[in-house]
Amino acid sequence: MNVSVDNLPLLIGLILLSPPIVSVVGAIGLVEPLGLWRKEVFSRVLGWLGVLGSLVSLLGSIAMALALLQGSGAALVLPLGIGAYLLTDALSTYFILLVNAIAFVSSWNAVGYLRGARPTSRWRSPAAFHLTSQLFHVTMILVPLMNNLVALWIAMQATTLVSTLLVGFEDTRNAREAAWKYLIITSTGIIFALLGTMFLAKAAGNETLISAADAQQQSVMNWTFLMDHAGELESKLVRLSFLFVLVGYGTKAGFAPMHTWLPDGHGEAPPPISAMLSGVLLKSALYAILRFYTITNANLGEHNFTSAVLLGAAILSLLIATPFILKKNRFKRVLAYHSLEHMGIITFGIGIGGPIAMFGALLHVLNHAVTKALMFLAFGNIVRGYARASAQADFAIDQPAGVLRRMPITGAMLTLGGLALVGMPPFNIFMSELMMLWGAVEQLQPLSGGAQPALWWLYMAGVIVFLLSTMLIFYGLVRHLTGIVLQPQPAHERLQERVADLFPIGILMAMVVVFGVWIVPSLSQLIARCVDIVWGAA
Amino acid sequence: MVELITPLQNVQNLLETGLLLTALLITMDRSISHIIAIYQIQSLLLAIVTVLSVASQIPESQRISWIILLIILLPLLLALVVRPLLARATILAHTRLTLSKWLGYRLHLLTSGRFGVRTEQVEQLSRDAEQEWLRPQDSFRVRGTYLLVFVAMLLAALLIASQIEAGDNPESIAGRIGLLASLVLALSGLYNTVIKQDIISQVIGLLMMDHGLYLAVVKIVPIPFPASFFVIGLYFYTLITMFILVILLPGVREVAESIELAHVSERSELKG
Repeated sequence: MNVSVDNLPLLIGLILLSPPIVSVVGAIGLVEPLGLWRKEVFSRVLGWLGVLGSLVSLLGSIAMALALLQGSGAALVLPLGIGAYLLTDALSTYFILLVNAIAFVSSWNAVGYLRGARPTSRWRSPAAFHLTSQLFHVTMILVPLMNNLVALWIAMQATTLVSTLLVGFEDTRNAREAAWKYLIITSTGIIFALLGTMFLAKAAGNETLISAADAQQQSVMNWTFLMDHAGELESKLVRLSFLFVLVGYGTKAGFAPMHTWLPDGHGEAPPPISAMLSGVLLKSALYAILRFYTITNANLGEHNFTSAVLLGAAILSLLIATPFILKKNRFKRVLAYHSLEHMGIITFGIGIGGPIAMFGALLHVLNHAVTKALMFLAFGNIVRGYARASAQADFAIDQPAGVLRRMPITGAMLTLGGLALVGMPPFNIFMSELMMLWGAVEQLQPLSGGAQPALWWLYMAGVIVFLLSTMLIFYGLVRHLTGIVLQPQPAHERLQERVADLFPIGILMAMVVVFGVWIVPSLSQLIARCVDIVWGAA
Repeated sequence: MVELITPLQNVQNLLETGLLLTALLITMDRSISHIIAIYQIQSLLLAIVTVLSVASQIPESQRISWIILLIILLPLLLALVVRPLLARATILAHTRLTLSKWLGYRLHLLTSGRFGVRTEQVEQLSRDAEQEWLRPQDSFRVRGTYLLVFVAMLLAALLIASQIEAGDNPESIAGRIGLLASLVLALSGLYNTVIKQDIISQVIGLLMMDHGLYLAVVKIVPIPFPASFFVIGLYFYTLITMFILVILLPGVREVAESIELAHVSERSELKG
């Protein structure tokens, strides 16, 4: 397929505008004289419109990726006026692709999840859900598109605000408490991210750089400008900036010890939203950290500082997540702790550095998103199916049992997804974890002069903690899964599994299996280009 | 060449020291009424410091940038709305405090009820909430601990500020106090969200962090550009703060049945 770089503005328009159309239609339906939100037909049409919008967005982002790969692969910086610029290099394209892929399956799942749901109020109706979730989709696309680092922060805040509405959507006591905790903790964390961004602005705030930016008609806070002039930034401030940004965006990414909102937020949100939160929102925050990571490495001329800090964060996250996965808990909370674990694993890969570990880490971003989305959506379908069967209006069942007997297809996918999540071969997560381990071993080899690399002790500690935690979480998740899929239940008649509901999780299951043995060549090339951007600066 | 500190800078430094003092007082106090009052004073001080700081950075030949006006609106807005909104959340009043009522509430003082606003409704909210805001002060030992932690934060902020503002000239030393104040406000605000025993005081801690952020933009970012993007960011952040005050806080208060964190934890199912 020939897509030229000249089509990029059109593609970006398609990607950005398709989901909001649904939000606009939804907003019209919420207006009281019309009162369309009360009608199930309207909600269903809106849901399917959301699926279509997400699909258009996904196809647009695939076309964008192909255009970049066929062209020179260089970044395209599109001016928006008011000093804002859109960036479409390989790294931003990869993350946009990820957001759209997960948003597509989540929006499809949401249609089935909300089927038959009775709207209790205007703002708790299925129509309001579809409106807000499409808005959430748009805000997450904006994050990787922003070239200006302050605009990136603003986009991240937009994701926080919209996702809070979705976390508290079910309006139960737990949901409200989870939304409160989520917004308070991430808001306090994100302040540090803005402080870090300000320190970087200060580092770049000399007359020479400001004049150079004006001459190029760019903002001095554009990532592309900062990368071109990285050597001219004040190093002390750049280091300080990276530390603050790691705390700030790290809170949003769920790094320990700022992770306390994560199990509540992901556990109480509706399953399609949990899939989005775990699958892509955490990765959006990681994307922001990666942009600062590249600037810091380019400025310092080496990666020891950033590696040390990231490895420290990774080890802490792995150590804290593992005991909670082993402990008996509600399944959605266990999945949320798994997200903390896997964010630690991805950060371990980035901290280890080197092209192989970096490739593994970036591939793991996709693999974890797909597998975690599969788990949340499949579990959501199971809970919904059991609740409908028992005709409980409040869908209070959150620990179903005997799933393999009552919903065999969904149960099988949940089981296989769980095995994939803990790194069993031949699934996708095993592939990316193996790459990171391989990269770590390579980095630990003595240098050409025979000396050990600097920080080898930290790398070794990271590898040991990584191996221990992956073994322990295997036991933890399998124990939880066994209770859900195999434990006998008094009622054992088979429950309905609609094809339309199975399709989205089927797509994810296929990706989990296929990516374990084969990576699509275009995707591999795209990730390799991302590695050039992220690792090339070191 | 060493430049002397001007009288204007002296006033600025004095006000910035006042900001540090308000941060300490909020940390040490448990009475919610007092904390809100000190927060409002902090907002006013911040607005004045902002005007002085930005005015001193602009060459005399230029007109005052619109950015100054935009930044000072934020602490003034929060000072105006914080007491009634917190009162409304505390007693779960279902008063719809619309924009026209707010404007009318303030303009009523000048126009004698032209907007037909019942200002006593707003005042009554605060009076009713104050019953729940009464609480005993902490012991000297506990307050001593808060003081020690505050001093530690001050030292940490001084260390960071010294990395940012280098040089020995008085102008940069004077600038360091403002930067120090912004970092202390952010850190002590965070500390307050952790140590306070009720959700209202936790929110004040968050609002104090907002103040730290506003001041940091003024002190750290070169104006007028790229400060404009930072100002947009501050406005967006304030929007989120308003969302917390207007929607989220009353929602949590309703399910918690109390403003005390201990009650919230007791009834919470979100554990483990």
